[in-house]
Amino acid sequence: MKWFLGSIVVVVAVLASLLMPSIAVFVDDPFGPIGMLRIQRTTNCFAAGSLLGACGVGSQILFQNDLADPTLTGVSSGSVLGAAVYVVLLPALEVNNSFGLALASFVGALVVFAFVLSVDFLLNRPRKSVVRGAPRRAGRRGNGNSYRIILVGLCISGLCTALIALLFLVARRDQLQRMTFWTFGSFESLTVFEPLLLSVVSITLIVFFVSKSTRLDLLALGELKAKTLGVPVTMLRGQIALAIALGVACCTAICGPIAFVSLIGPHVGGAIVGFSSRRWLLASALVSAVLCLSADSAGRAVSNSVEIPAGTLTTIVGAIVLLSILVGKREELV
Amino acid sequence: MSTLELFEGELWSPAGHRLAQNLEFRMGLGEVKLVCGRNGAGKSTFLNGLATADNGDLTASVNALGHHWDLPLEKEKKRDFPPVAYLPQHMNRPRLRVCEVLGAIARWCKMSPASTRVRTVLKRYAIDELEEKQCFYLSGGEFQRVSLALIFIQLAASKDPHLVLLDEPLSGLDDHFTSVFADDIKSQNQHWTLIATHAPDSFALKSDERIRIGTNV
Repeated sequence: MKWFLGSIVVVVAVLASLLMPSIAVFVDDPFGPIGMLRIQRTTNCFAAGSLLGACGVGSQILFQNDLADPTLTGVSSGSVLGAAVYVVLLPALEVNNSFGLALASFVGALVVFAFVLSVDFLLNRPRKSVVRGAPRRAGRRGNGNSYRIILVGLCISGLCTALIALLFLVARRDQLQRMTFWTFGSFESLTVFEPLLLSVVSITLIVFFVSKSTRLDLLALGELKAKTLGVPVTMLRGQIALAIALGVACCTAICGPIAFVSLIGPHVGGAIVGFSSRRWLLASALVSAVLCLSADSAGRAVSNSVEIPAGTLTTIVGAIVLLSILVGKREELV
Repeated sequence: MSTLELFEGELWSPAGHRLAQNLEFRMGLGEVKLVCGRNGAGKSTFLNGLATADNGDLTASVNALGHHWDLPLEKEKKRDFPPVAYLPQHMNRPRLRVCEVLGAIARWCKMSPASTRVRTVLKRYAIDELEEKQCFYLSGGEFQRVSLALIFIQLAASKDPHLVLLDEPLSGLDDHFTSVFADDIKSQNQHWTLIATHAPDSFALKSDERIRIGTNV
């Protein structure tokens, strides 16, 4: 029943996205220029939303923390830094193409993610034993835990934010304007390539996570328990981290930073169908897609002259939804 | 062949301090040994080191099933090491429902969650009534019963001898389930079982079936 009602909500959200703000334009010529733009935008929105939802679930499982989202890996701030470097420091390369900006953002995200992993790896190196002549590796392991990578990610995200602020100080007015607009986030798509790419990445990522669902459920019992059951924990965590980084990097490169979706989607999805990773993933992907579609449609419908950026509306809608969940579960939080 | 032997065991803290040395024991299939020691002596570190076998907390030589291993294990030798059924002292309480956790373990062990072997374990530990509850909201004793049921499901799934490592398995259990668990442990005859506990008398084992860690025991 839950899945049936959910499907109806998804269909309504997709139709609203296709038909907003004027129904007649789409109904008269669905495959005309404007109709195609709307189809591309809706596909972009759906794919980006589901991708962020799946990455959000992946982050909560990876970090074993209900408040984790992909920003903790430093990917989001890395992509903004990449975009800022491209716009401010490489104006010669910038011939007003969005592809260059997307590529810079993607590269920035992956570079920062690699940096976070490297720092985490260095911190995880075995310590020197205090006992002379102790056997090799005896009692000298690093302290592997998920909190450290969260802290490393936060530190490097902060560093990226500071670098972005410094770049903004030396930026021209038009560059500042472009960056500001980009950081609002938008699902607008002028070519078929973007929604197609996002759809492929989104489907691949969801299939990957679903194929690992039993291992993800066992990982929820704790790293040690999963390891003794024979789950290849280190490899699994590496695969999840890489999948999240690639997913969020693609999404941010194409749509700009979309806030809150990857945090809200998993919470709402989990509250509806529970936290068994297979159902949780699918539900979170759909909830996040609906959240993005609703925010985008509302942003276009609210006024004929101004479009409210989707990233801003997802934050507003997401915060309200999360607060209403907390109010609903207040007895459990006491 | 069916004897498990550990000798020249040394226990190390993560910072590289030696916690205990000259650890040794020998046990046949079906035997149960209690790991005893004062707080902080290294009982949990010992079981943890045996469970992962490669984390460096425990350096030792192990013989079993005609093989020899030196702990910590090299990656390529991990495959031959006897399978482990481990109950950590503090296990994560996931937001999954009990039936979902049981389903995941059963699927991982290639069993059906509805199979007779699984249902028998669940009935013994009265898990039937908890199946729809989230693990996160179970009481300490209820979650301990679920954790023990996971161990026995894992053991029921395979005929291979397991190294069963239970860290404070009685914590939170009432008298009824303590005796159920003690009966189950004594009746198993194809695994090597090590139990770290502060209440050795609950198992009614002979005193020579204890491994003492630290000197002030």
